[in-house]
Amino acid sequence: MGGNGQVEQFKTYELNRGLRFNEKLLIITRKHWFVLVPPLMAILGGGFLFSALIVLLNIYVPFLQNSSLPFTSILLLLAFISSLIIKMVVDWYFHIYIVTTRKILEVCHTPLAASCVNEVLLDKVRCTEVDVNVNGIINEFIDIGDVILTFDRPTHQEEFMLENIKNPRNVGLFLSDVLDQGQRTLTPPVWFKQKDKFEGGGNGHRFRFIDDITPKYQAGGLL
Amino acid sequence: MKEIFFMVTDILFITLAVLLAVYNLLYFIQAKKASVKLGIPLPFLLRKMLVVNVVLPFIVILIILIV
Repeated sequence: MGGNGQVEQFKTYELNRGLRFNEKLLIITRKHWFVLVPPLMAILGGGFLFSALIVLLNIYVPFLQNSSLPFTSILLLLAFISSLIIKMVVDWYFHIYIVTTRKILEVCHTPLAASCVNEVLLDKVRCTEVDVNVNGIINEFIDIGDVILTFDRPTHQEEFMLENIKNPRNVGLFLSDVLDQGQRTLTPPVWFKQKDKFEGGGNGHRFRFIDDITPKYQAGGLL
Repeated sequence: MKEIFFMVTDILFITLAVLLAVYNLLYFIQAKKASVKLGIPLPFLLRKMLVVNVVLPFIVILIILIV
């Protein structure tokens, strides 16, 4: 599986430091590098347009012709564009998804701006769906897509999205195997909340015990 | 009039370049800190690009002052 290969690739990153006893790294991945291409093209295009404007001003405005102003403004523009590009690459580099046997993490760090850690503890939730989305001809061609994990929490449903990752189908299959295995070892919940107001005799959104629905025991012995 | 215009643009460009240099320097320091904190080392090329990014506005300032 590609996930194990990715773990090998990231072995030097010492992410194992944060792992608990018996917890193993399964996947560490980040968004595909191709997501950088559209904003990069936009930045370069904008820079080119500004440069062309400066050159045109230099040609058509007479008092600028013998000055250093166009040269210095293009240099400043280059410095600005290079800053934007580096910022974009560093932000992409520090946005990673980590899957271990115990949790799923999304770590994103934007220096000087923001940082976030989204964590789902797999032993506290029940994964109900693993969806894989690959949209568009380019994404299909270079194998980029989203893996969406839907967790059913006692109070609400929550989605965890691994966006624009490489090999989404393999990762999706791998995750569904891992989560399925993990859930077999979990104990089932002892209660649930009705979603439908009129379900169960119109008692409203009441909490009910699982044994009321699927009784294991009846008076007189095991079913 | 022309002299004033060039002087104002020079001051404006130098101010912008200084701001950019300070921002890039802080960004570089924060990126280094983040790489240590997260345990994800920055690749050689990215590190060098960050350094170039810090130096570039200072070169622009020098050129503006010289020219």
